[in-house]
Amino acid sequence: MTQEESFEELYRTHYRRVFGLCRKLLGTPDQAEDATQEVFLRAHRAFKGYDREQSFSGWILKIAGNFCVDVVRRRTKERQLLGEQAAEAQEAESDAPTAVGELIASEQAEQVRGAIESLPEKYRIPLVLAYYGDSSYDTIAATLGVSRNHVGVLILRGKQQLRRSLSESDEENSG
Amino acid sequence: MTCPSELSYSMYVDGALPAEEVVSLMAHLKTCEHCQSLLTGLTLEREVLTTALQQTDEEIVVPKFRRSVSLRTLLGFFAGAIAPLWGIRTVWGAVSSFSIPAGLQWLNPFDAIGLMDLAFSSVIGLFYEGTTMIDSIVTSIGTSIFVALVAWGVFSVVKRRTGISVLASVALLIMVAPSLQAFEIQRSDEFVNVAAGEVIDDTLIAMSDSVTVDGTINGDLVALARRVVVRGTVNGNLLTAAESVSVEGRVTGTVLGFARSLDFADGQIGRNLYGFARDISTNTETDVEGNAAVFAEEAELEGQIGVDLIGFAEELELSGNVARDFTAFAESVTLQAPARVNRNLTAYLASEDDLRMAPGTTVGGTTDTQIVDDDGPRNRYLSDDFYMLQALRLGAAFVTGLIFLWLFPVLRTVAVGKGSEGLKTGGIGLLALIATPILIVIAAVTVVGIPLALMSVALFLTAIYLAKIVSAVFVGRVLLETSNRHYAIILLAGLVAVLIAINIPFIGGLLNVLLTILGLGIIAELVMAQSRARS
Repeated sequence: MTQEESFEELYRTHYRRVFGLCRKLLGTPDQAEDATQEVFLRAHRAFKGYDREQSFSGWILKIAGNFCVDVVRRRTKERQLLGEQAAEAQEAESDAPTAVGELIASEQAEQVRGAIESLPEKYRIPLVLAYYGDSSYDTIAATLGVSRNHVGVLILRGKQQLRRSLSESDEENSG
Repeated sequence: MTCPSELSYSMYVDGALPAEEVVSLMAHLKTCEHCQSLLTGLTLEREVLTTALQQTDEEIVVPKFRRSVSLRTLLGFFAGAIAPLWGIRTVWGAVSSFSIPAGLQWLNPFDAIGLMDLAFSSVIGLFYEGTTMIDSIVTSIGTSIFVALVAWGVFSVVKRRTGISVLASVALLIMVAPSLQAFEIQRSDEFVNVAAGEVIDDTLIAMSDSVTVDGTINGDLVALARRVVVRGTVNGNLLTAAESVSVEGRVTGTVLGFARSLDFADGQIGRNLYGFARDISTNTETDVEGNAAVFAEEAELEGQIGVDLIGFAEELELSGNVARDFTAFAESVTLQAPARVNRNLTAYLASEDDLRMAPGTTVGGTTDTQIVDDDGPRNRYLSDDFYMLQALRLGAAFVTGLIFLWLFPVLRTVAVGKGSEGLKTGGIGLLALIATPILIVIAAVTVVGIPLALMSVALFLTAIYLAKIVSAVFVGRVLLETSNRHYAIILLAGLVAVLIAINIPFIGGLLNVLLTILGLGIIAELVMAQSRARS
């Protein structure tokens, strides 16, 4: 199989996953489609240098994560994508640890996805990269240009907000 | 005992907690029920999130992979599209007129003219044809870019990419704006004439067999023709290249002329005159208000020169008036009455006898004759200009080489076989160097072959220039003993080596020829291999 053929094969097998990541990071299907094409174009250009020992999935998802974060950054421009670490940390610490799992375990996957979509970008991006993009905290930290600990804070804050919005919708449904 | 933070547990669940913290966390967990339930909750939460994110209700269709259109592809496309079109147009033009076009008469070998004239006419003819060719190519490329920009702009608007659509619109405006008002181009096979009384309020670029200006041009005049005559007024600069140029009228700006003969009888030039020609002449009515610099075989200067006169010529004769200094580099300098140099006269000559000053001529300041040692040329390796020129050559070759290596990656890994294979390459190169000009001449004899000959001349000259670049890549690869480095480094190393080699005294010329043959051989072999592979 030539290099071109093997790339097209990889494109077909990984398209959906990359599209999914872009879709979750960027929002609309249109933007996700454009972004996915661009991500594969970049990967195509860099394919010669791709280390075959590494998993292709991890490699392409990393490219996709970086690309989408850049897109979001350009989109938000002056709006600070990521808040001050100190302020985030303080807020996060001040939340009392609560029993959480059950709260969202009963939710339908669709509702959870809806809640994730409506999260602010600064929480949604690290959360999606970690739980969908399979990225490590270190990779996310490098992508976002923040510390590893800050990534942890953002993800936790995202989860806390998810719990709140899901319990609110629960109350609305039952009320 | 204080419980670890929820953050620590959250990071632990995601496998991101540093090892040392994990140890104390585990120790605490054993004794704290509250934290145990927190950890269970967080683990469950992670699973729920991961599963929810993996599931999707959306139907995703995998579109076809769209490869990027690289600049290389675009260039290839333009070259591929424009070259045949232009070729067909030219051939059709020559065939349909069924006679040698007036501008190409010089190519007719039965029209016996002297070698010098042939050479000169060739340059003018090539220049004339060349500008027409460049003009048509530029038009084609311009139109293509214009269409591409429009498409790009429309696409961006549709896709709501504001930034790009603004950029495309600005690019379009920049392209369209100059054509709205900046200059006027007139081109004709026979002649371009600005009649007496006619006024052109623009820069005029005229390309034709003959360009005559009897009227007024309020702007610069760029004239490329066999014959250029300015009897009217150019309120601007005159830039001209022609077989013969005659300025009898008035040019308020500077005149820059390249021609076989430059004649300024009765001409009035508001600023400077720079003339490059075989013969340059001015008469008693000629008035140059600024400096005059003439490069010629024979220059006969009468009339007025408002500032300095500097002349490079075989024979330089002055009978006019120079308001300030007169500097001459010549084989002979003659001052005829009533010549007058108001300040100093400096002449660089082979001997004092070469400066002749007839009675009735005046030099206001000093007359200085510098004897130029005629025993041989000055040591060129000691002059700054030499190194400047070599640096320029290196830079130009490097940039050209990079472009070609980028366009044709096959050239990056050129190699010459050992023993008889190497000899074969050399033989093919030598054959190409000798046979191509012969074939071009044969093609030029037939009427239909003329356009082919013209194209071949251009191709051949390009190939000779490229040959040295190709051999430089070869030399670079041999020197660096590797092909793993970036081709730019290999090219630079090779070019430096080649440039030094061809400047070695005595054997440099021979090396130059050998490197050209080697490069031509490699190119020819590559072309043959490509066509073999195709068939």
